[in-house]
Amino acid sequence: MIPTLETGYFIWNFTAWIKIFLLSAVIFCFLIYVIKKKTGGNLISSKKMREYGEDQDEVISEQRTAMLRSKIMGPWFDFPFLHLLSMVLLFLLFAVALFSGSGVE
Amino acid sequence: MFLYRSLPGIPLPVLCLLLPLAAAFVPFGFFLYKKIKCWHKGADFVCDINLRPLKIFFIVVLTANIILSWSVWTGMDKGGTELFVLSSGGWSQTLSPGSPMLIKAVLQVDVFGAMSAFLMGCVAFIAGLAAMADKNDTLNLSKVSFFLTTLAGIQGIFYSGGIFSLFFFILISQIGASGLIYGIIKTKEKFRELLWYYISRITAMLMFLTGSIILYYNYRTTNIAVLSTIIKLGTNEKLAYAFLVVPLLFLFVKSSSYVTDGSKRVFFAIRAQAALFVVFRIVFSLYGPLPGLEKIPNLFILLGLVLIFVSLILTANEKDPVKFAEAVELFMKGFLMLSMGISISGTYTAQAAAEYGFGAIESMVAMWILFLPTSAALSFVCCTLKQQTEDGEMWQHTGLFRKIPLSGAAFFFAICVIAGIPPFVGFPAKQFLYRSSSYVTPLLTIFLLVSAMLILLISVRYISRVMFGKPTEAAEKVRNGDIQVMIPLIMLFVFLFYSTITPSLFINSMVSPSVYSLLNKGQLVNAIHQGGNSE
Repeated sequence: MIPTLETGYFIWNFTAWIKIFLLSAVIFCFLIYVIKKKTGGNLISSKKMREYGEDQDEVISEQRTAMLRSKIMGPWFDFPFLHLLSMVLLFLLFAVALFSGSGVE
Repeated sequence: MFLYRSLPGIPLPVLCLLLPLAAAFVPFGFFLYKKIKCWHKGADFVCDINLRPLKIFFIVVLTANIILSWSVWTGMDKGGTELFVLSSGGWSQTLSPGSPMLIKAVLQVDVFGAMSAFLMGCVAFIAGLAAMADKNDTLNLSKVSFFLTTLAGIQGIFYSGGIFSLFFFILISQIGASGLIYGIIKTKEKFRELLWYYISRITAMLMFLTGSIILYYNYRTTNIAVLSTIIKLGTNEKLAYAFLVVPLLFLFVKSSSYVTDGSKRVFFAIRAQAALFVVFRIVFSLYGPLPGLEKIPNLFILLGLVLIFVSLILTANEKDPVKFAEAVELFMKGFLMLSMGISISGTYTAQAAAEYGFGAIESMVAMWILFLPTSAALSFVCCTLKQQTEDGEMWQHTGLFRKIPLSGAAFFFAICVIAGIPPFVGFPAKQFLYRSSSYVTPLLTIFLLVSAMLILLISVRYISRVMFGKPTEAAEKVRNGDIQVMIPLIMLFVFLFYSTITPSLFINSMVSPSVYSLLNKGQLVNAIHQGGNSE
């Protein structure tokens, strides 16, 4: 493994960054371990899991995400003129950023 | 006669462009020949062709393209730019000072473009190999023709120095890409069905053309190097900015429709990468940090955040592998867009550039280079999972690792690169961005780290759901699932693995020279006016 990473502008201590990431990963794993131990093997507390039934595959957060995707985002994706609409929207955003006067000096 | 005389001294980049473009017309010519022959005989039209010569022809063109683009890249100075001018005396690379010859420069190749063309040539070759091995959708004349048209268009984008020539090559690549998705439209019903698609693409092309015309009308040139030295931001220039950037950003984000052919998906990824290349050229090389564009970085950061957020929602509960791959690609696009915003904001002052600007640009270019091989690997794996089995499609089963181990490993490797997990090559690319984003706000860094972690968790869960567990009965009967994409996956793996074990080489040989040439704003023109030659 190469200890430093030299670019045209910077020299980075590659191994130091890896150590930071590995430390973060260890902390993350420890947190997961503690959570799992406290909630009886599930990332969601056992009390909440009972409310939604034990045989359910998807936890509540996933159900909400799926609903957000199918009910709110889905109809937009199905529009035949979505591509045109998104280009118009992008153009408006750029027009606002380019022509609005207030804000950044 | 003039063309004949100019042939012997033809420069390599021009040859690089002409080769796939000419080759694209060969299958088309053959198709016409067969049609005329049948019409002459009064028989029904049947275009039967021996696949072997077609495959050999296709692979020879792609191989020659790699060799030529490699020669162009290695022949360039570090961070240099070369002009190729066709005049009455043949091809030359020198320009006299004070002459308007720059406008007539046919091609303007820099290290960034040359490196991109080579990378794209390699991935196109890999996609070509996959297309030839595909037994479900075998290679035919129109497919080869559209592949090569797209290739020629994208090659031209990388070697173009003017906005009009960019428009021309974007148009060619669009024709190729549309043909790859929908083929040749023969019925009115099919055309009506695709009407909105064609309207949106024509609008995108017209918007870009409008931007080019505005700049030409004001400055009498569309050469990016010349324009960058004389451009002053007024209402017209602001309008041109929006007209030039918006269609390309759209083509970058929505590069393809739902396609289950891995090789076609790779070509769409190539096209998305080329679209962002044009945006880089306009944003960094043409306009740069002009007063009046201070809000643009925030807009790019906002768009990046939206894309990352949408991609996380789309991947969270997705079962279909192709849609999953599309959503993961969207995640990469979000990171790229965000890094672009930070990069632009970091070029306004010398202090900002020194603190985080250059780091952000290096990160942006590194992620841009990695976008293509990783999305290609994802495409191949996810299209393999879409294969039909006795009981539904492959992804609907479990315990597939024993049947498609290479796909499983490639998917895991690609995801680690995308999430930026050390020691994979995505890590050096992303660490610059994490450092730079902390200068904008530490909250942004935390958001990026958390989203990278989430995409890793979601993807690992997705692949482990398919690969591990008790194999179903139908999964047991799957035979040689990833044999068709074995060679392409190994080649992509070699690139990613090599970059992983030698990150310094990856950054120093590919990223840094590209950053230098991207920011080499108008220096070529200044050198010509001061010294006399392009050298």
